[in-house]
Amino acid sequence: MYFDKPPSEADMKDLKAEEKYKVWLREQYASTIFHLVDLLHHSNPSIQDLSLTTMMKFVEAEGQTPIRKITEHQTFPSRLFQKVFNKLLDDNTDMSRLWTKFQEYTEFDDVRFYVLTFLHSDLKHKKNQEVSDTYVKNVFSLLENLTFNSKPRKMLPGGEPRWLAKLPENEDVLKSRSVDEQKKLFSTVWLKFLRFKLNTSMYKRVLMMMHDKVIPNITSPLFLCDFLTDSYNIGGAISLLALNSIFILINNYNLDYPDFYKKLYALFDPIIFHAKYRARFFHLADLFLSSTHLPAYLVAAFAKKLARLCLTGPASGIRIAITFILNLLKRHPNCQVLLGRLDGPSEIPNDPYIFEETDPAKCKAMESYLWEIKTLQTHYCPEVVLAANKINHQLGQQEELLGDVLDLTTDELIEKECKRRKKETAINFIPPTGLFQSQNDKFSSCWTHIES
Amino acid sequence: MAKKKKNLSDKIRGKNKSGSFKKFNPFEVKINKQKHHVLGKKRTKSEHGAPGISKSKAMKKRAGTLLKEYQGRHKVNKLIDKRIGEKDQNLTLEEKMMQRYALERKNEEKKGSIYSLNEDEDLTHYGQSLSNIEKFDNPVVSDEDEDDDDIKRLKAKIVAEEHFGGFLTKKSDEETQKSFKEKMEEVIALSKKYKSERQSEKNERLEMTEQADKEYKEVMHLLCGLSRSSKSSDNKVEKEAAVTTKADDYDIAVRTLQFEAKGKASDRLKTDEEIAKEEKERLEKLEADRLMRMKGITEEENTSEPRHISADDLFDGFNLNIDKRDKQRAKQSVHFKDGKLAGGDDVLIPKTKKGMKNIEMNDDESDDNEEEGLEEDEESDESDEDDENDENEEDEVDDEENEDNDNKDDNKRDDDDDDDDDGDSDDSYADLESEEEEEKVDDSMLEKKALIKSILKKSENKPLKSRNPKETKEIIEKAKKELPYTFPAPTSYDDWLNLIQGLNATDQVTVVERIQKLYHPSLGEGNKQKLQTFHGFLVQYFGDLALQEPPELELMNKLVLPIYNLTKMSPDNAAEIFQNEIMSRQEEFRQITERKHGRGLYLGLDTLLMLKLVSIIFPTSDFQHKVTTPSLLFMAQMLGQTPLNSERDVIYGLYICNLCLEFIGMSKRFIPEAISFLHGLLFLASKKNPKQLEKVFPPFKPVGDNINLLNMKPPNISKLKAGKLNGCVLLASSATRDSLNNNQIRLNAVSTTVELLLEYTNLYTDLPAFKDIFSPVVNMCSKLPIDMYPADLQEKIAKLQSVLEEGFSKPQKALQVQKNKPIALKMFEPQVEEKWTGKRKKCGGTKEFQQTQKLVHKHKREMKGAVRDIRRDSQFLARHQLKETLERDSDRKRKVKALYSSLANQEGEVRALTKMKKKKY
Repeated sequence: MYFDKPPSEADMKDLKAEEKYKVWLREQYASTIFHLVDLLHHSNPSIQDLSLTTMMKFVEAEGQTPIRKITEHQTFPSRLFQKVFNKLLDDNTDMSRLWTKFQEYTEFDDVRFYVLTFLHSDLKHKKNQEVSDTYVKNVFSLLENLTFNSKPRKMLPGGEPRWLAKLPENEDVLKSRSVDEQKKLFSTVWLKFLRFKLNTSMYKRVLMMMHDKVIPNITSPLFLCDFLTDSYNIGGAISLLALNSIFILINNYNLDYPDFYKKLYALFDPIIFHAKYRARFFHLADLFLSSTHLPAYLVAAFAKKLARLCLTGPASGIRIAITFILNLLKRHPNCQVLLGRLDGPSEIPNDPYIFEETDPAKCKAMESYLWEIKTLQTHYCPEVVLAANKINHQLGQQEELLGDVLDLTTDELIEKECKRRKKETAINFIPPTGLFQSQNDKFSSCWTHIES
Repeated sequence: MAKKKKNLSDKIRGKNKSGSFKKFNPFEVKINKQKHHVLGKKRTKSEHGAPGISKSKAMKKRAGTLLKEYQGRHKVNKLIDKRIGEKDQNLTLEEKMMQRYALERKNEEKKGSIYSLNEDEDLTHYGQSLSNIEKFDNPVVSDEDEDDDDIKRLKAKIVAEEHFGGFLTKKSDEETQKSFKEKMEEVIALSKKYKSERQSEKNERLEMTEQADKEYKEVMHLLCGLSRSSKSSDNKVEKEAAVTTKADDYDIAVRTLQFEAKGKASDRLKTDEEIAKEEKERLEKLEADRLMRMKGITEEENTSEPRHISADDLFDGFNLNIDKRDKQRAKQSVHFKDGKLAGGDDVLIPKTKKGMKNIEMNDDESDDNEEEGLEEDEESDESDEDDENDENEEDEVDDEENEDNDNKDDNKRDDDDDDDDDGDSDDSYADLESEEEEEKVDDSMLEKKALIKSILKKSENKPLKSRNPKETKEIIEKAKKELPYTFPAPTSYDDWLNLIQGLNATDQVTVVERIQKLYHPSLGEGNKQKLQTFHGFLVQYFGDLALQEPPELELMNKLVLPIYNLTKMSPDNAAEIFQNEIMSRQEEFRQITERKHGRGLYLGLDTLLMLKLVSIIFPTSDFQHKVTTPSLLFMAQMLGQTPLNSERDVIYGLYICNLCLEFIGMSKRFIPEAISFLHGLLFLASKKNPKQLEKVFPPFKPVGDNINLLNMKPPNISKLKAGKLNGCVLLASSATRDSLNNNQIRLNAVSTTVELLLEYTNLYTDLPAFKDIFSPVVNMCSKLPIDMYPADLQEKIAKLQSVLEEGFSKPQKALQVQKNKPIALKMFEPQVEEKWTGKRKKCGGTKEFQQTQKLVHKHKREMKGAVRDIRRDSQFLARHQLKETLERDSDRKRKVKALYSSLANQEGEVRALTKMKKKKY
């Protein structure tokens, strides 16, 4: 027996006792759901979790044994689910924690489909409205936690789709809910989402997940090109992060990106040594420059610029940079003129390299030498010195693994120095007379009253 | 004879040959022909072999193992041969049988014992087992003869009276009334009585014999000489000893005279020139070492420990440890008496524990050191601080003195040696005393100290507790006024704080020095350990002093030397201590940085001064050093990761820059962070063009609240003069933001920046990238508001600019790569090795590469072998299967044939019969 609407008073009289009981039960159920949905915004996270799981259990139960009359197309209790969904996509409450919790349900095809449909309609609805940051955040955490685990499906064509609710009998319905359809929805949703104004941290997070979560699941990744190009042009850390996705587009989707290397060249800035994503940047830069078909002037420009940046960088960054540069030179032997050539003059009045030039083709790096690396041979950090000393001899064929030094931090360098076992500790042989009274004390010229 | 020998050797050789050499059929032996014969090369196994034999061997083996497995492949049950020795090839049939038989017997015995009826059957004679008697294990001794007699008597009696109802004897009525039990008890009592009687008799006899022996010995002793008798009896030895100990004064005098040293050998005093020359040579050598370390050349390090230089060393070449006699003497001789080293007097430091007690220092002057002579050695145990007590004690000590007569000789000898020591220690102590007098008591003490002042009093008195109560009172009164001379080595940091509580700076230093001397490693085992822990506390204390309000710079200054001396004593341990101090601070910095998302904070004054201390104690110019390298990295990290938010940060940064300069002053190493930092400071002081962003290096930012931190603020600029920064005030943690926020400090900071840049410029002039390093600095210099600065600062900036410009104009040398030796073409001439060691030359590549190569090779070989084995196995099996099928086939053929033939016979017979029948009809 199904009720689409609660029966009116008049009808009630006609009902039998058992049916009355059922009506009463329905009422109780409705009120329970009403309260449970409210609890999704409770301050206590465990209550939130519990109410979410309970609601989803209800969804599942209704999907299996519907309380309304089902049509052929509809087995999923979308009305009930929409209530949950709307609460989760609230304008004012940050629900990102619950979305991570919700991730286990997005593995079901039907749930994912309805999430995407609802989100799609929601976004369409809010297209011309100002949206709150919290709403954007919620949408982002939704998208972040949406997973397409289509791998097993690919191996078994026509394999059973996973549904939380009962599988509908109609083939067309199944088809319309298929993963491909969902991906179409996913693409439009993403493109709509990217039109929102994102704050910096959100922007960075979007870019960070772009290459492995978004691009593979989107129907035509080239749509993302505009967004990525814009982000790449912003500069700083954001362009650093956009680099990866753009590279994937160029590499796999035939994106024609003019001046890619020029822009990459511009990214080489003193800040890269201090950026949070230093390892990622160097890894990617190494990847981009790994082709042996790059022109020598380009490689030389990169090597020279990085070497110049080393003159102001921290020890750990320099260590990475030296390995990077030497690998470049090994990969492109015709760039090794930077370390010395046979026919050149023995003295050069001025470094021909133009640091400020943004075009690697015009910076005259090929005419210069890597004096910077030579300078780093007197660096204070022994690790750096040992690495820099390698230019004294001919470079071999074997490239050093960049991954070994990529995650090096100054803290690790210090620890490494401490752990170094040496036979004997040397100490000064001239006994001191005081804190600031030794022979080669440099403090007296700048400080007074430092000793009492 | 010769013939015989030859025969023998021949025999042996022949035997050996026949034993080892197996006769091969020459047709079975296959010889692998060698292409080249190499002289001296060992003959390998593979040169010739017997393929037939080895094949048959392999076949046999397979038949034993693989075939068995093959045949039993469908069988589940297994037959295990458990017969003894069946698998043992070495046992002969007979031995096998013997072993089996033995086991069988053993099993039988086990089984049989349950049912055997005559198992315990033992024949006796007179109640004794016959078997025992036969063995003669227990030969009857005369003593026990009686024993047996008694038993016999008893038994006879019992037999007579009891057996057969005792009808053989007549009994009285009383006796008949006794129960059996009573009778038996009687018997037992009787036997016991006999036994005890016998025992006492025996003892008596033993005593008598002993006495007789003794008497005999005495007689013998009288008869023979004394010398013999002393050996024979213990009593004699004791008597003898008593006699010898009663040596009179005369003997003593003779002996002392005998052993008195005749002449006094002494070191020739070196002239001043010689001392200076030696010192110069020493310093030159050390400097050369330093240079080597700076270049990071790891030559064979000297295995000998660095020579310990005592705090009292005058550098006149005299060394306490390398004495004329031996080292042991030196160990004994360090003993403090009246503020002098008086080791010679003290010979009673036989073991370390006792020695520790003995080492006490006396302060007051006593001129009659020599006169007191021998008495003092014991006295030093008793007396402590005062000489006034000496006289009282002398009487007491006299008795004990006797015991030491034997040791006197050594005393005398030691006296001579230690005259020199006395001189040295005298000096140092004089200094110390004068210091104490000169410097006035500093009342500024830590709050903590004041709190535990009472505890301090107690700890002062502690060492006195063991003394006579009579003396203690006097001593306590004195001790209240002055420092104690012995201290327990502090075992924890709180211990140490307690120890120095309530003492002024000078006294604290004195305490440190005294502890250092008290627990000198040469004075006892475990002292080194104590000093090492103490060293840790001292360094920690040094850091804590910097955190005081105001920082106790004076005291810290004085602690430097003791810390240095302790470091010299055990450099490795000290390195560990300093490393821990630095690393704990670095850890703190790291945590702050993590919390603030990569932005650090300048740590307090203690860190700055600790780093300074490191630069004083350890060589900063080394290429790699356990302490200085991490310190330098830490400093650079602070400079590179800390954003500047206030004047305090500027001053701390400047200090660290200055310290960096000191670290690399000799080695001229390049510190990018320092230059970037100084460049950033110039940026903070420069005039900014709001439309154009300056290029600055992290941690500086081209925009922000603090980019005008060092800009001069308008009022009264012109009056100011650029000076030096006041370290004491500015670095202290009390310096607040407001107190630092004035033009004078900004001006001084800029002046210091320029000064430091000048220093760095001087150091780095020879760097190939000099221009690239300093061009941003020149750029920034031109943007400084020079007209606001006083003339001397303007001059300085101009000088900096001119020096830099001059450096820029120098042409840069082109780089040259050292060419590797060209690889020679391969020659066909034989390679001749002049020094052939008999080993194969190592092939190139790293160790790891070689190892992997080796493993790969081994794997290949093993793989080949395994494949071959498998192939042979399958061949063998196939052969066997073929054989089986052939057998089966032939068997079947034979059977079919037999059947056919029998059928043919039958047929023939039938036909014959039918023929017969036809014929009949």
